Amino acid sequence: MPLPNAFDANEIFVLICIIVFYSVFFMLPKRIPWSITIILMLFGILLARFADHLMAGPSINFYDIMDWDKYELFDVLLYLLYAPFAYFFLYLYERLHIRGFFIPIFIVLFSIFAIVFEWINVLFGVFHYKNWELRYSVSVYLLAQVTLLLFYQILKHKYNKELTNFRE
Amino acid sequence: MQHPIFFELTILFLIFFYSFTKPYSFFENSFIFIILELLISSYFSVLYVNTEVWEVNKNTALFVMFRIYEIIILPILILLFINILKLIPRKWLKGITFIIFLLVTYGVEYTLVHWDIITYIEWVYWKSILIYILLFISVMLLLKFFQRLFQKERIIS
Repeated sequence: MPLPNAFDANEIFVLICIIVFYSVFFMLPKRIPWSITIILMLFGILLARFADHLMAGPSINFYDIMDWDKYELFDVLLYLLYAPFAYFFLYLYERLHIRGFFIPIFIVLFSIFAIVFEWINVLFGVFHYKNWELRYSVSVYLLAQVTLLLFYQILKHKYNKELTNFRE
Repeated sequence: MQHPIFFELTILFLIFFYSFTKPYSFFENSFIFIILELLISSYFSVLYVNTEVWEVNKNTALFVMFRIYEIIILPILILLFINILKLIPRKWLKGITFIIFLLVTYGVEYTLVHWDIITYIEWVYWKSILIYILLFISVMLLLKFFQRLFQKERIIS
C-alpha cells in the first residue's frame, strides 16, 4: 500500500478530523448498545468504501482520493472518518427522537451537513474531482443515509427481540 | 452476453444462502459479512489497482461479473463456510470441510481466470489460497473478540 506523495494539508486535515471526531464519539453518552454501534460504524465505512470502489476505481474514475489514483494508506484512514459520522447521524436520530414526518427533514439536513463537510475536504485536497461535481454527492448521501437508517431499524428490532428471548 | 449462467448461478446461490438455517445470529453474520466486504475489497484493490498482479477484463459484462464475484459471491461463500463449520461437531470433519472450502473458493476464482475475467500477471494459485486462509483466520479472530461483547450484552448465549 503506497504512502502519501507528500505529508501535507490533506493528510493533516484527515488526522485532525479523526482525532476530533473520535474524541467527540467517546465523550458522547452512549444511547446505542455497543454491539449495534460497532456494526453500524463498520457499515458506515462499508457504504463509503462501496461508493469509492465503484465511482473512484480504475474503470469508472469520477474522482481521486488523497495523493494517488491508487489505494493508499491514507485512503484507509479516511474511511475511519465515516464510522463516527454514521454514529453521529444515528445518535442525533435517537437523541432528538426523530420520527414520522421529521425523518426526511432530518435526512436532508444531515445530507447538507455532509455536503458542506465534503466541500471542505475538497478544499483541503482530500478529493480531486474529475467527472464529478459536488451536487452529485447529494443523491449519494441521501441514499447512504436512508440505507443506514433502515439497517439500524432492522438491528434495533432484532436486538430487542433477542434481548426479550434471552430474558424469557 | 458471455457466460449468462454466471448470473443464474449467483442468484441460485443467494437463494440457497438465504434459505440455509444459519447457526450464527443475525448480528454475528452481519459483523462477519461487513468485515469480509472491507477486507476483500481492499485486497482486490491492492491486487489489480496497486500492484497490478491481476488484470481484470475491461469488457463491461465481464467486469460486472468480476464486481459481483468481489462484492457478493466471495464474501457470502466465506460466510456460508463459516456457518457450516459451526454446525460440524468433530474437529477432523471441520478440517476436511476447511479444505473443501479452500478448494471451492479457489475453484470459483479459477473459473474466472478460465473465462478470462481475471488474468494473472505475477500471481500463482497458492498465493490466493494463502490469502483465503489469512482472511478466514482474521475474521474468526475478530468474531471471537466481538462475541464476548455480544455475550456481555446478553444478545447471544
